[in-house]
Amino acid sequence: MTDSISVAMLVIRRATTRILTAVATEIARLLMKSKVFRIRPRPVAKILVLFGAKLLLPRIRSFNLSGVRPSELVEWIERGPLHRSIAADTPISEDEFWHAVELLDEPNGPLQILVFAWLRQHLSETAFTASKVRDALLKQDLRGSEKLPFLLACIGKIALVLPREDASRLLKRTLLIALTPVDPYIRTPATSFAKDAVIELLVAWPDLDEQALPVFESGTNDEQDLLHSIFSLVTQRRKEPRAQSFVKFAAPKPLQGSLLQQAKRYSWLVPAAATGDLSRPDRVLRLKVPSWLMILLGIASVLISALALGILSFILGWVTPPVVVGISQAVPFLALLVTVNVFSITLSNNRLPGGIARVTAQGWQVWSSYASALLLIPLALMDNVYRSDELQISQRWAAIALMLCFAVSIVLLIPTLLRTTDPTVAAETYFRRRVGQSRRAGRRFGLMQSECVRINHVAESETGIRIEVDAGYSDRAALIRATRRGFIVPRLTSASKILSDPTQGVRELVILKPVGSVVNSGEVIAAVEPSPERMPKASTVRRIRSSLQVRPLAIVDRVGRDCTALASLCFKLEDEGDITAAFSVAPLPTDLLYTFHHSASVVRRRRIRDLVSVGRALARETGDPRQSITESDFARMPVSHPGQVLGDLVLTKALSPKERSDRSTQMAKRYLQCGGFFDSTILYAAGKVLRGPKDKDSLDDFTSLVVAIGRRSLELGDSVTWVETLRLIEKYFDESRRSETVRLASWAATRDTKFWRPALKQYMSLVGALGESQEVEIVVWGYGTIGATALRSGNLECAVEIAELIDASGYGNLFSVLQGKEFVKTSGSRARQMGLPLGEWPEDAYIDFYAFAQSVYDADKAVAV
Amino acid sequence: MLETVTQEHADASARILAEIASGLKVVGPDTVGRGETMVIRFSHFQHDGFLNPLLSSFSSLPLANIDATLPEIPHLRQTTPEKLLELAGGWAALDDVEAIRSRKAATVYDPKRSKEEQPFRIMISANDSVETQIVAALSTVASLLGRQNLIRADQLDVTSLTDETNRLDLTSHRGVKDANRAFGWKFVADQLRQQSIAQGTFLNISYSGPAYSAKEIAERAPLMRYIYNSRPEVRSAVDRVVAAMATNFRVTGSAAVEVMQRASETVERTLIRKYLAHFMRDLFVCGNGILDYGDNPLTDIRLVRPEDLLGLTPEGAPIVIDGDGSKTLPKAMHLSGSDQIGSPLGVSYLEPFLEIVSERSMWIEILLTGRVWAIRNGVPGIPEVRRAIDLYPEIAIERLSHLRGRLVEVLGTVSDTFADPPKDLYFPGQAMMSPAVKRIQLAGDGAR
Repeated sequence: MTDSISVAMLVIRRATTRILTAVATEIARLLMKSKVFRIRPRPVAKILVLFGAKLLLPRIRSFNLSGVRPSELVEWIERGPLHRSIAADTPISEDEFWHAVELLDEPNGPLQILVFAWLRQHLSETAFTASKVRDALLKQDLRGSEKLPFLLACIGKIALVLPREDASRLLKRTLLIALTPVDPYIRTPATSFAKDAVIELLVAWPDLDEQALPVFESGTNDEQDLLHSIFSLVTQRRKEPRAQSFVKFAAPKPLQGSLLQQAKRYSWLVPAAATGDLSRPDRVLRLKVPSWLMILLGIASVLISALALGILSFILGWVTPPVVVGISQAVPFLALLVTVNVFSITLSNNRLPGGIARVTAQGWQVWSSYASALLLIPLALMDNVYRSDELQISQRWAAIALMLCFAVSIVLLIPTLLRTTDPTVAAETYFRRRVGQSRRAGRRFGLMQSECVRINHVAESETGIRIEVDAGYSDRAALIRATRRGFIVPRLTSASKILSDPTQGVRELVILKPVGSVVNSGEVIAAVEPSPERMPKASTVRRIRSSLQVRPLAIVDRVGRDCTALASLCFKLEDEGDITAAFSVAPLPTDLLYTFHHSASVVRRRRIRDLVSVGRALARETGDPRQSITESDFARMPVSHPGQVLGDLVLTKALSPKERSDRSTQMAKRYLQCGGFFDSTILYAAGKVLRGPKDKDSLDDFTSLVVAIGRRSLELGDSVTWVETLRLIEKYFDESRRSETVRLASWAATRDTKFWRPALKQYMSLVGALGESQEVEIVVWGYGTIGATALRSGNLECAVEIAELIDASGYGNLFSVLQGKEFVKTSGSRARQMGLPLGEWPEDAYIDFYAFAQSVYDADKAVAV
Repeated sequence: MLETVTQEHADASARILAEIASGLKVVGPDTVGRGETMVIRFSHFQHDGFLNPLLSSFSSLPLANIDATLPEIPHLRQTTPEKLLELAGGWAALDDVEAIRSRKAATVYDPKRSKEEQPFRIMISANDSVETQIVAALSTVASLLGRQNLIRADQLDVTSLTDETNRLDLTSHRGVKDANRAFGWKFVADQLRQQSIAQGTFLNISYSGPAYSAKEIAERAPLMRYIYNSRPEVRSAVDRVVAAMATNFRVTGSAAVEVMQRASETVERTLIRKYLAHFMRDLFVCGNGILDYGDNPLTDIRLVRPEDLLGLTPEGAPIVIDGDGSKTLPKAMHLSGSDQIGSPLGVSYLEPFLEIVSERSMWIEILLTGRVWAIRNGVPGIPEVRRAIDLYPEIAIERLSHLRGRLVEVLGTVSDTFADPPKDLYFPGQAMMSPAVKRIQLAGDGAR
């Protein structure tokens, strides 16, 4: 209920703000356009302009202007009509535009950014603009002018409408500016824009490359370096094959820095999080009234209208109802209902896990049938109690209405019950019923976390209370144990009240667990250190104990249970061979977890923001900076991550210790294949708990699970789990090690350095360990495969490193052999078999890589000579 | 890495050091003219895990003259730099040799010549526990007294200088630690007081929260830059950390691939990474980094020299020198290096190297003088000169190798865990920092 209200409020508020802003902007615009500036006396005009400026400020603030006061804006607006047009964002003609460009050289103060951004926004891509920019850049002396960066910034827009010879001249000019050395202590406004302009020109005119190339020959190291960075960006923008431009520009002249460093420049990788993306479309919030409320309202309205009808019919002299519902009719209704319900529960229990069956068998139809049947019994019993006829007739009508209500619900109930025994529908229903609870749990969890942050902060300044994880305590200390399993969230105010009273005999309270962490029942959570003179009374310790409350785990436990129920349904379906259903169920547990995480983080963020601002205000008032909670405080404080708690719950259930081995391996693997484990914490834990395979048969399962974990960790960009996976492979894999290592390494080759380097290292150590016993071709095949994937995905750094590795291992002379038809063919078919990301024609990828490696090899040799 | 220093810890540390200082102070009206007085000031220093975590204290020499002309050494200027470089035998670089020939240097005072306005500072690591700080403060004073005693009593045999000082440091540290454990610091302080009165080296000790004022930090910046420029080990450590902090930010998030690529392209195209690298380097070397975004960050971004920093407004905006007056930069970012207690301005992390570098410079000069005189004709054969030729170069080499070890020891190994910095970390031509002094030398304490 509160949900829907808050959503509605939000929508209304946003809409109002929007409308108000639009209206304000329009008023301001009208004011600026009107003859306000000619109004006499001046003070009136001033007030009107100030009014307009006040209205305009919110709009202008979208240019990220901070600290501009309305009076400053007024002063600026009054300078002239061009200023007014910019402030009110009204269109101006092309001629006026170039007059407005001159404004850049005026002292505009904090409004300079507005002028700059506005001009860039309103620049037209016409030949006229192009000629203007060209004339200004080539003919005017723009040294020290603020117009220079703007004109350079224009080049990106007009590069394509420029004639070729102009482009060539402009390139010469901009290159000169771009190559000017930068002193970071002196303002150099044009340099980065010049670099930008060079890139834009080269992207638009690929044949101008030749003009820039002489710098590679004659320029200083620094200039060459800059040019490399320009060309790497140009290659990227032109969508050219990177390997080609790398070989063209960088490989022959790796003067400064190694070849590898240059290769890193030309590598443009897809940022890791883009694919292993955690965000998913948030489920649309619907206006949803809780079902029990609906049932109650429904039945009440039925009853009231029935009674009203009865009274009306009596007054109007209608007949008494034709049917009298007595107790003998009411009881069979109830019996019928119970039968149907029990039957359907049994049916769903056979097909669904208990938890889901219980929930899905309880639709609103069940509740309304039960409610009407149960209400019918007292109504029937009261049939002859009344003295007055009016009441009796009304009661009879009401009973009939209830009976009808019951009949309708039971008719609706039977198909629903039958349908919810279908696993996918049941899972969806279950999810729908649970998602709200999961959101609420997340919210409570987020609140609790922010509360923990506050407690941590308060504890720092509180004398006598210390939070020190696993600190030692004296033998006189009274220990406080957790009374149940849950989150430890102490109430510091009541504890500090006791501590501040010296007669209580308590010197210090040491909290031994991080606030907000999960403790088991009976675990020592705090120590009460007595003062040297006297021991605290038992009642004092008891009071302290009660202030150190342990909040029940139930809020997150329930979410964990829901996830487990859905996950096990997914496993069950897969066991039965119903893969399609399994796949449709698989995302639900993760969605549930996501809802939890999301709402927890929203609440946490909001609360922390509030706490920070309150703390700041307090610090300002008291003049004590310690009062203010900063964001860094929050980062430093140990608050258990929801992923930890839930990961713990899901894992302990999915991989229970007594059957942790083949069965758990299979389960985890299936869960993974169905798209589960979106939280890398859980993934990491899964990697940690896995034991090696028992026998040869389970090796396959184990292998595929480890590979799947590795792949998922790559998708999530989680390097810790990735290294853990590699460790597992190193530990347990035997003959299949090489191909699996190559497989993982080639996946990693499309990623960041932190992924491919460990994998490559592992392959190298593997090759080193196997020594002479292996065939050269197999070794090179591994390198070639990793290199080919790297090259294919544009990871030149990795490709160059592998090319150099092959060379260093003494296989460099093999390149011509490697490019041979026979070898490429076998490599290709093997890659296809293993499902490596080498595209449709792996053979081509191999040939490309070997040719690339050959050119790197040749370049190396040439430099050496 | 290390625990951040909390307010409570800082308060407790400041209190105890102030108490120790008053316990050690022996200056009074009756001491005037009866011996030499050393003005010592305890202050706190935070190495924040950049330097060796075991570095619990170091001494910081006061600056005497930023641009001093040293007395000529006969025959030195007549020898070519190349010849000198050859004579140095790998212990000095060409820059060192040329600086020695030019007789221009920044000078620092040794503890004896400390004055009220230019005290000799003993910097105690605030990252350590209070107990360790007590021992560090007391043992530094003990070893200082011991050294003064050696010099005054003329017991010092230059041939065993390294051994003597090492032995002295070790015994004073152990002695103080044991006595402190057994009898408490008050007892140790009292002992040291008695010792200082007995040997006539009067201690005028006090404690100050902020170690340096804004003016002092600004004055010392060229010295710190010199340390960065001249010591490759220090430079590599700073650059590694700078590279890790400034250039390693990546574009991550959950937008479409094209948007992400465009964003990382923009980061690459604008020079923000390079500005950040310079900013971080200023912070490590000069103690404060100021990056001013100006009114239009697209064109106005620039760094402000740390020397220009006068203070901060309560909101954290830097106040800098502007011509003859000052101005506030509301849109600038300021970060401090090693935080000072009781001052928002930071101090360079390279302060501990000042002593090492100035001593190194002295011994290189001694080494070169001895070797030049040995090969030159016309050097008078008086005993001092003979000693300078025969004895001093060997001692110099021994000291230089000791100092090299000491430098690595102070630096620690934390920065080794970071990857090598890329070649294009800074703007072209800005690999070395300027303005820096050419050399640092102890004032009035030369080869002779």
